Amino acid sequence: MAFYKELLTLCAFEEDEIADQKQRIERTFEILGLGPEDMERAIERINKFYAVELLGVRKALGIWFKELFDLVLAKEEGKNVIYFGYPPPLLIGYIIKYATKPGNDYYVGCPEAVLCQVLGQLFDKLNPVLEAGEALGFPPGHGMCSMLQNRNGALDMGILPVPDLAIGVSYYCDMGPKADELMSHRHGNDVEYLDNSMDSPWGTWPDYDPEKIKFMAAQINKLFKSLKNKFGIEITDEVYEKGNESIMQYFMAVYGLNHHISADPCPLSLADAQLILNLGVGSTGVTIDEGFEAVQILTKEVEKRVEEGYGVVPKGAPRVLIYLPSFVDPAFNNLLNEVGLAVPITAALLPPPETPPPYPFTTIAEKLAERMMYSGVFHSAYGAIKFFAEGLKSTKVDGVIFNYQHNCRPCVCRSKLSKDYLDKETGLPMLLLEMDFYDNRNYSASSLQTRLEAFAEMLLAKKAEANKGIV
Amino acid sequence: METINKIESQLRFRLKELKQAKEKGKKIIGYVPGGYFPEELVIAAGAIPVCMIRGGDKAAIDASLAYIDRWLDTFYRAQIGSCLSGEDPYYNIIDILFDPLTDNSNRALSDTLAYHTDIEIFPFGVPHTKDESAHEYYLHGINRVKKRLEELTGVEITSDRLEEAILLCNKERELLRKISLLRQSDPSPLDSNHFVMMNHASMIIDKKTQIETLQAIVEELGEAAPNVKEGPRILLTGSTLAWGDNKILNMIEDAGGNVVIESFAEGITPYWYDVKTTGDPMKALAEKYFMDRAVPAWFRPCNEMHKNLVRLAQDFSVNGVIWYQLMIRDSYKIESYYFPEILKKETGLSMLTLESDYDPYETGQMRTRIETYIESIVR
Repeated sequence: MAFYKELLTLCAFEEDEIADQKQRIERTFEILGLGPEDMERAIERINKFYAVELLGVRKALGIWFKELFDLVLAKEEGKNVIYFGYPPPLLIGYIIKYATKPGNDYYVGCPEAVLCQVLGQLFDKLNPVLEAGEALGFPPGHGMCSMLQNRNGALDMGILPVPDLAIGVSYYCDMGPKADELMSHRHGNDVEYLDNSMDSPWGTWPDYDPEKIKFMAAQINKLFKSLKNKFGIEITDEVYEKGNESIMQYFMAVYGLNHHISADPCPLSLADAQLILNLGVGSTGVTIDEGFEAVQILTKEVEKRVEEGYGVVPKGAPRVLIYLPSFVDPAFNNLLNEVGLAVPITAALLPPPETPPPYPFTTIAEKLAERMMYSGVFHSAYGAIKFFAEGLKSTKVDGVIFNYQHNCRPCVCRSKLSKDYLDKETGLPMLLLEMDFYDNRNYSASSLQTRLEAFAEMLLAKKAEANKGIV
Repeated sequence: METINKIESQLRFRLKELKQAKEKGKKIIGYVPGGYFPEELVIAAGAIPVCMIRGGDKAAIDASLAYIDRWLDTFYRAQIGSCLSGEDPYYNIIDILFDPLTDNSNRALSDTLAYHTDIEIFPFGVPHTKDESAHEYYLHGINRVKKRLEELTGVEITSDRLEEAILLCNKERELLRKISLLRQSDPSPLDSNHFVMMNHASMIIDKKTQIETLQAIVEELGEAAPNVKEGPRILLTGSTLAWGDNKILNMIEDAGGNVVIESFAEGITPYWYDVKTTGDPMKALAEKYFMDRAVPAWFRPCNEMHKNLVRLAQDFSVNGVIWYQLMIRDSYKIESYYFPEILKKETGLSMLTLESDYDPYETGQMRTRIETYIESIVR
């Protein structure tokens, strides 16, 4: 039996599929240096951290593997490779992927997110990649982004193909575009920067200066022109509409799943939910093809759990919103349940607050630019905080874990402001938790446990008092 | 060089002068350094520009921790700390703070002060790429600044007033350029501490006074015999060289080095280009302040900065390059990783990278590294 068969079967691969994909699977594992011992470790971790009795979870795991194969082999299989940086201009990525779908000759995605999920969560083998990144201009101790250490390290190790084009959002984060520049310097690939400025004054979201749309639209059009000149890719109105529709179908299904997760008792762990939530971030390919089905399967399974009253924590457990789950460490994600907290929601699933009706922009670039503005995070620190605060008001939780990436400059710009503002706006108990979503060497689950336990105990005590009618 | 010492005294008394001017109804206009704020607009509006360029104090860093995370650039943390602790009196007298937004560290200053203080904060974006749409956006930003200044001062910034202010600021740039270029001779006729002080003064003291002083310095330097000790010639570059952060210059000098040219994102006013005096003055300002000037490390890509540094190293015949950056300034950190290779290839020179968090404890180690570097380039 092939050394990977048991693992892939666990991840919902069919026997025929494994046989058909044999060469691709073996070549990917060869490039990544993954052998039988790694398979055993992955099986052990998957059984330990995920609800493998749920087919939807196993399907999600399988999608991550398929995305990994497509990513690692893209060049060898003669595909053009387009990367977008993290946090990704997702819709732009999806539209490019949709435009190139008929020929199936492009890989479009956010490679670092795929490596976090598979090499990090499943194989626990991300550290050598991070170390390679540290040796390449992202040294430890300087607050350099671990996501970028991961991508640049992997490129240098030869486990990621060099892209034909990298797309970087040039104004949200400073380090991402510099990492793109460094990548281009070392590997010779082209980079397109989407520039703008987060210069909206404090307190102005969702308003924006129309000149910002003009500027951003010009930048997006520059990218579209480059896609056409370099690859012959045309982003037409039809591609925009249909691409948008196809990904919205997936995200609506995720919202549907979330509706069930918010039951009491909470029926799904954060580690399991995260597998589905992040698919939309890292994968533009297999998610579009298979993600919708996986979410639907999982939704039915979760619905059944709700009917049966099954919970990953006892009924009545304090309910918290966590800003983001860990991308690499399922132990951290499960720890929240272990300390007695139900996690029915993350920031990504908050209901979007009401925004003014969109301006009747006519071009795709303008429409995309305006959507980025309304998303909050690409508007300003205030936009990000206000977006979050408004969503929080319509969500029933007992507390908030405002965890943030310590080496993400846009996050640390607003971390303390967020806590202060949200304290005042919502009055909810809030834990400001500095951590690393993409590297668990310095922020392991055990190093964060004491703080989470203390927060959970406080929420439990508060809830008990409230139930007594004292508070 | 008596005149140089006058600058020190002008800087010392500037706060008092500003207070007096404010009492007489003058508006004091604060701005964040980086060379992207056209002081000409303030002068044309009959107000007084003053740059928030003080730094080097560890206490300000400590004070900032109550308001902002530690994972941000040292200089901007120091600004937040010194403003919110009330330790920097300049923040108490400004009527508005204009912040040309360059990167996230700078944006953190703008947001944190907007949230925690009553100071009116006016951010305007500086794009990170040089193309037509970016140029237009920068022009749009300075037009917004112009409008706000007119509202604040009640003075219309006419083309005539603006042209007059441009001529004044061009004169200052011309003099700084002239003085700087004198340092191409070997030995250089003045030390870097003095030249950096002139730069800081150009952002703080009255423009006409500064021009008179610089003019006198040019004349004195023309007459005086060089009195600077000989030693390896150094290009000092990096993120921020704040007013009060003299440690690095003193250490290089103590080690026998001689800084003959500086290039910083914040702290050295961009004096290499003048604003054109023909055509629309607002467009001319955008040309000079955004398109013409050499870019800092947070531009993408930043080949222009590499070329500029190589050119400065060659034009000023330096023997070595010292890269002095503050902690947690991403773009400089990444550039410091691969610029040495470019520098070596283009000039044969080596580079020493130093980082500071304004911490007195870092001095010993930094001194040893500088001494070793200076020794190595002498051989």
